[in-house]
Order: sequence, then C-alpha cells, then structure tokens
Amino acid sequence: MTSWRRTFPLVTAGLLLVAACGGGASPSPTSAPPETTAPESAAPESAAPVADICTNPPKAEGTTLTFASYGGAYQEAQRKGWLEPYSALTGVTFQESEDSSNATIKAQVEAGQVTWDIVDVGNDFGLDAQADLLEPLDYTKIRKDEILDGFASTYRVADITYGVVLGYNTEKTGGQVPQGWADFFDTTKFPGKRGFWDYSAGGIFEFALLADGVAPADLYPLDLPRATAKLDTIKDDIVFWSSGAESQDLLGKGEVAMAMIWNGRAYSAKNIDNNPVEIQWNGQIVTADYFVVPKGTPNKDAAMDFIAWATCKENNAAPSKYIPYGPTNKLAKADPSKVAELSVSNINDTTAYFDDAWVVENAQLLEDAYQEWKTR
Amino acid sequence: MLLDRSRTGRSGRRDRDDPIVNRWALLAVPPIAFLVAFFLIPLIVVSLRSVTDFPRPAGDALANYGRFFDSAANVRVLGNTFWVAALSTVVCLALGYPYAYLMNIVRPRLAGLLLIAVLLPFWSSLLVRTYAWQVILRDTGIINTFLLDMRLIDEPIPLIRTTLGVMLGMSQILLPFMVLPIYAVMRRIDPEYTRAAANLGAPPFAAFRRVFLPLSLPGVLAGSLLVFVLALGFYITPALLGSPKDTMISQFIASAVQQRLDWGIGSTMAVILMGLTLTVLFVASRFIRLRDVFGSFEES
Amino acid sequence: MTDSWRQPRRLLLVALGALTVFFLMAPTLVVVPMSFTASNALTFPPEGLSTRWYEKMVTDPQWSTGFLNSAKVAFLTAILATVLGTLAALGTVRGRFPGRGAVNGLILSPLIVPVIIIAIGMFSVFVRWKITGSIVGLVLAHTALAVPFVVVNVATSLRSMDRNLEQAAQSLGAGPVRTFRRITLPLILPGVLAGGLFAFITSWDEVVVSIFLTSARFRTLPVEMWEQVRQVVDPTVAAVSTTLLAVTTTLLLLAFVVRRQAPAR
Repeated sequence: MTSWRRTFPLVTAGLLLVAACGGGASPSPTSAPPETTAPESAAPESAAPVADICTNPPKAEGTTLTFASYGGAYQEAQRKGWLEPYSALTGVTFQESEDSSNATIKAQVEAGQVTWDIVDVGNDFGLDAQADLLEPLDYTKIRKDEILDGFASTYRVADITYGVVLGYNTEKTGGQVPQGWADFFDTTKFPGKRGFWDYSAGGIFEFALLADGVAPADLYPLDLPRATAKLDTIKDDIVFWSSGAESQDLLGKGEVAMAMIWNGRAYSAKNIDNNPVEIQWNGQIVTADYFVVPKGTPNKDAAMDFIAWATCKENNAAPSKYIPYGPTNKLAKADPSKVAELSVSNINDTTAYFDDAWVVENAQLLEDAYQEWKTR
Repeated sequence: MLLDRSRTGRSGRRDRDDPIVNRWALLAVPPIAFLVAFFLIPLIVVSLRSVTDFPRPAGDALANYGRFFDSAANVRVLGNTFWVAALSTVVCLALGYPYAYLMNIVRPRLAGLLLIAVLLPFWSSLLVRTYAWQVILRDTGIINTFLLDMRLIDEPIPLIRTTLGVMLGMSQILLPFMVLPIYAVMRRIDPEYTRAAANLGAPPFAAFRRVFLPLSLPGVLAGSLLVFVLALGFYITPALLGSPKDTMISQFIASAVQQRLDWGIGSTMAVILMGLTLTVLFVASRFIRLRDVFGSFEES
Repeated sequence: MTDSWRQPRRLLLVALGALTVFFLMAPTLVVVPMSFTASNALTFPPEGLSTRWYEKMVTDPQWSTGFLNSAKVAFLTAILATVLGTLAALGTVRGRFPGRGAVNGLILSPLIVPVIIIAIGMFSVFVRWKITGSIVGLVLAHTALAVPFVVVNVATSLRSMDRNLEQAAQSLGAGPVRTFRRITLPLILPGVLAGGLFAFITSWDEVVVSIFLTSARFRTLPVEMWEQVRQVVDPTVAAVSTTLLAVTTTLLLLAFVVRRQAPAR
C-alpha cells in the first residue's frame, strides 16, 4: 500500500505533490501530469491477470447496470464509445441517469437504496473522505498500472481527462488574443463580462491566483485572501454559470467575453453551435472525471467488469471520437481527429493541476471563503 | 350518525350542553394523520438533523448553529433575505394599494376583470413567469436587443442578475397576495362613511386620508405580512434573476444540501428560516388577526 | 364631490391600474408568441412562424414523458387532496374538539412554511421510506401542499350553505348518510370541484419539492424545465412554458365557472 505513496516525476512545471495520504490502507490520490509526459513507470505490455477482459469481457445476459453521468454530448460520447459496444459484447443492458451528483450517491447509500451501479463523478469526489459511500474498486480486474499516475485509487479510477480552460469569444475580444488568466482579469485591455463556474472548488480561486502571478506549482495551499482580493478587481463583471450547457451558451452568444469553461464545452460552442469561440490553453487545469461504485450496489461485480473494460487501452479512448476528452489509460490512443483538441495534448509550463486531496480536506474552508466573498 | 348535531337540532344542542368533541370531528382524523406523517414529521426531522447531523464529530449539540453564525456569509445572506423581502413588500404595497382601490370604486363587472387579471398570474407557474423575466431581462433579451437595435445604447444595460431583476420578478409574483387582502377589507368599508365625511365638509382627499385609509389599514397590514413572509422563503426567482448580492437563504439551504452534502448546516439554516417566519407571524399576530391573512386565500 | 379635482387623480389611478395589469400579464404572455418562432434563438418579435418547437417537445422523450408524469401526478394528487381536504373541511367547520385552532394552523401551514424547508424535510424522510424518485412520493408530497386549497374552497361552501335544508331532509325521514349524499354534498360540490382543480394546478406547477423528490428516471415537466431553463438553449422551453400556461389557465377558468355555480353565492 505504501508503495502508492510516492511523488511523481516533475516533467512539466505545473506539477503538484501527492498530499500525505490519510490512513495506511488507502491512498489520497491527486492529479498528476498525464500521458504526454511519458512517465517512467510504463506499464508492462505482457501478461496481466485478466488479459482477456479488454477484448472478451464476461458475458452477462440479463444483467442491467445503471450508469449515471452528466448527460448531454458528454454522456452521448460515453454511450457510443462504451455502453453500446459493451452491451453488444456482453449482453448487459444499461439504464442511464443523466444527473450524476454526489448528493444523490450519498442519499442512496444512506437510505440503503442504491440504484446507481457506476457513477461518473468529478474530481472532488471518490477520495478517502467518502469511504463510507463507495465500494473499493477491484484492481485485480482494473489494470491500475496502465492508468495515468495518480488517477487511480482505492475508490475511484479516472475515465476521461479534460481541461478547465480559458475560453474567449473572438467577436468580443476584437481580434486580440488573451494570453492567459492575467488578461482574463484585465477588463481594460479586454472589456466585457467574465464567466465563472459558481462553485468554490471548481477552479475559481486557482485561476485568480494564477492571474496574480502565482506559479502553477505553488498554488497549494491556496492563499484565499489573495485570491479573493484578485477576484474583487473584476467582481462586477462576473457572471456565474452553474451547468456546462450554460457556460457554452453564455460564451457562444457573447454574453461574456471570456469564461472559465470545460474544454469540451468550448469545443461544442465552436464546432457544434458554430459560435466564434476559441481556447487559450495557457493556464489550463488538467483534471479528470472518475468512475465510482456506490456502496451496497447489488451489481458490484458486473460494475467492476465494466469499469475494467472501459479503462483498458483498447477501449478507453473510444469516447474521444465524439468529444475532445482524452483517455486516462497511458497506452490508449485518442482519436486522431481530436488529438489537437485534447487537454493533455496542450500541456505546457503554465499548466496547473488540482490537489484533490487538499481541496476535499479543506472543502468547508473553501466554501466559506467563497460565499463570504461572493455575497459581500 | 355523523349528523348527530343536525338531528338533535338546536334544542338537542342546548340539552347536551355543547359536547367537547362531536362526531364531525372524526372526519378530520384522516387528513390530520396524513399531514402529520407527510408534512409535520419531515419538518421535525429537519429540526432534529440540525442538532444531530455533523460533518465531524462534535460534542456540542448546537455546533451547527455556531458554525452558521461564525460565517460572515451566512449572516449576510440572512440580512439580504430580510432586505429583499422588505423591499418586495414595499413595491407590492405601492402597486397593490392603488390597484385594490381602483377595483373597489369601479363597476362590479370591471372589478371582476381586474380580479381575474390578478388571479390568472397568481395561479400560473412561478417557474414559467421567472423564465419569462429571464427572456426579457437577459443581455440578449427583449429589452436590451430592442434598445441596441434602436441604437439607444451601445452596451447591454444590466437588468438580469441585479436587485432590480429580482424585484420585478418577485413583486409580480407576490402582488396578488397584497391586492387580495386589501381589496377584501376595502369591500367591507361602508361607502356611507366617506360620503358622510364629505357631507360634513371634508375635502375629498382628507375624507380618504382620515376615514377610508385608516379603515383599510387591516388589509394593508395583512397583505404586507403575507407578502413579507412569503418573500422570506423565495428560491427560484432570486436564483434565476438575482446577483450574488441578492442571494437568499433558501438558495443557501439548497446548495448546502445538494452541492455540499452538508445536511447539518442545511437543516440549521432551515430551522433559522422557519424560526424567523414564525417570529414574524407571531409578532404580527399581536397587531392583526392572522385569520385576515389566511382568509385572503378564500378570496381566490 | 366636484369632478374638477377628481378627474386627474382618477386618471392617474386608472393609468396606474392599467400599468399594473400590464405588469402582471404581459411579461408572462411574451413567451407565447416567442414559442412559435421559426428560428433557433429566442427573439421578439419572433422570426417566422412555426410549430417546430412544439414538435420537438412532443417527440423528445424527455419532454413528453415529463408531460405524462406531470399529468399523472397532478391527477392523482387532485383526487387524494380532494378527498382529504373535503374531510378536513367538514371536520374543522362542523366538528368541535379541543385544539381546533391548532389543527386549522396545521392544515394551512403548507401555504406559509418556506417551500425549500418542506422540500429538504420530505426528501430526508422519503429517502428513508424509499419513496423518492417515484410517483408515490411525489403524489404524497403534492397532496400535502394542495390540501389547504381544497379545505379553503370547501369550507367557504360549507359556511355559506343553508343548513335548514339538511334539517328539512332529516325531518322528512332521511338518515344522516342519505342527507349528506343527497343534500350536503350537492350543495358543497362546486367548492369540492374547484378545490380539486386548484389541487391539480398546485401539483402541475410545483417545482421546488419536485426537484428534490424526482430522479432522472422520473421527472415532471417543471423539473425538466428547471434543468433546461438555466441553459436557455433553444425555444423548446418557451413551448413548454406555453403548454404549462395553457393547461393552468384552462383549469383555472373552469374552476371559476364551477364556483359560480355554487347556489350559496
């Protein structure tokens, strides 16, 4: 177990440390520089204990798994890339929920009424703090060594990587290209409103600090007074969004000139809605969504089989055909048409990573500081 | 059997010297049981969670209340909630009183139409109406698009995500609760009073101010109380039309429970909001009859 | 009482009244024409005329099942609330028992307790009873919210009814049940029906409690709309709004007509 406690090679400048993990039995994972950094611990290509699960998953006619994710184009990509092929291979039928939420997992587990078998959650969930709510993943099936370092831990394994990026509306910026978060906070140079996700742990403080000159590696522990002071400088120009679709709409229609936005939503604003939207990759935060299995699901084994299959190198990149979210399996090859659009393809020395363990540990502190600032 | 009182008639009632419980009362048992199970118990459970549900082990049963008042944001939002509710009450009174007065002086047929104009929106979906305001007030909404097209402005003027936006949305929804009780009271004022005042030489406006206005005050108080108390609990409208500065406590309760999974603080805020609502009602009940307030629903 | 002073004031009053009517009605009605737009964006006046957003609403399973779910929940709520509300009105108007004031307060309190508190309370209890995300939980919740409207309507009918008719029936030999069925019920029926319609509308439009008690697998129309309204993507939401308004308005007018029939009024 303690072998999981290691620091990761510092390949890109934007790197953070693994936080001390709580309790010997379960590690506290953090995000780390993924794929393109070619980590030293490359996975063995040879004999794995469950070699065939990737190409020949166990048949399970009559099994119904409930898959909960975030809906929209995202879930559609997961459906086409994973659920439909898996159904064809195994006979498993999927029932889908499009409203994944940590609150619902908690409610289901506490009520002893678990109806979700596999849940796609954000980077703020699935850590040791939620041990009471989740089943430990079965790493005899899931090939942990092939997953990006730091993206697989006791209760969760990352299924896709994405970036929280600076998106801008080219009509509103009048041909100028914002170079990073410092420009985002400069409303003299770039007039117009700014969109932020209305969530304390979503990146708003991190971006304020990056804009204020903090190096990506020095973000944590977050200097909250400094972050809120920086946010105060543009407070009256901020529009808060609460769903991915809303951010896509605000930026696409130009209600905001720039927005903190998930790279897939910026991509859709540009390529699906045909709006004048571009991404500035400088200062992006590379992060992931994770699979978790709520404690007490009657379909635990079948859920583990699916998760193992979907994180295999053969299958993990399948959704990238439909949406620019990258694989988490180091050996998986993303769809060529989307490679340039992936968060992990655009890593440079301004790239930052969340320290999920710190963020979860200090969630209350973050939330209090955020609300204190927001309602001020 | 059920109609024992009717059967025995007036004399029977006198003979039996007013029984403490009659059989009609039995009919109320199923609905009371229903409301206790599916309404009252949930409220009690919320209250209990505020003293039993802690994110970390806490020795002190009131730890959540301590947490609530430790956070400047919570206290500020509580203040906001009162402020927005008070403002809505003032706006509704300013619009509602003249409207009720107008209803009272026009011909009955027109008064009926004016009543329908109040009741139709009163019963139409709050969400739909808030959505409509959103469509009107957005930066790319009706007003801003029009003004931009007319070249009256260069930049969209801030309408949505402002206190003004919340006020428009909330007072439109709350206005009927002001108009109905005021109108109900005005209708009961005998026109002879003002006429008498006028006959005694009072100038018409003085007759209104000295005679009619005081007589209509119970309606004003009832309407204001109703609007204020209902405004305290608003959630959808400030969430969609307001700025962070207009955040109301209901939004905090929802986000505590849904986003942060913090039932302790969520139910603590719920208890505080409930306590405030009851306090307002209690204080008000010393000045006006609550039945006047609830009675206004009968007019609808 | 000369008109010299009065005319301008009255004009002002009428103008203010007209403005208020406009303020009450116009903003909501604006979504009606907008829902018939042919373009992808919400614009006013609408560009072109088309029913494509209604077609989308009907063909999109999310909206159409939401519509059916709402109708089912509202229908069952109306029935349950009408029965319970009528019983409660009879019990509290005609019954005498200690604590009647408290019971009246309990019955009316769903109107005054902030709905978010009711929502998290019901969620917290219903989860334990395993009735969230189902039609059962939602009908029970909406019934609690709708009962007061039935009680108020039925109580009004009861109070204004002439009890001599009941006594006459009984003196002619009718038993209590028969008297109730043949005399009392017909007399209060307009109030009962109006109450039922109000109960239906209450459930049909309810959103906050529904947000907490529904799941992706079982969603009502207002909840679906709440999910979409923050994203304002296309005019389907306007079409849904118009549909919600149309149903509510029809039922409301029906309730007015029914209440007019009340012989006591």
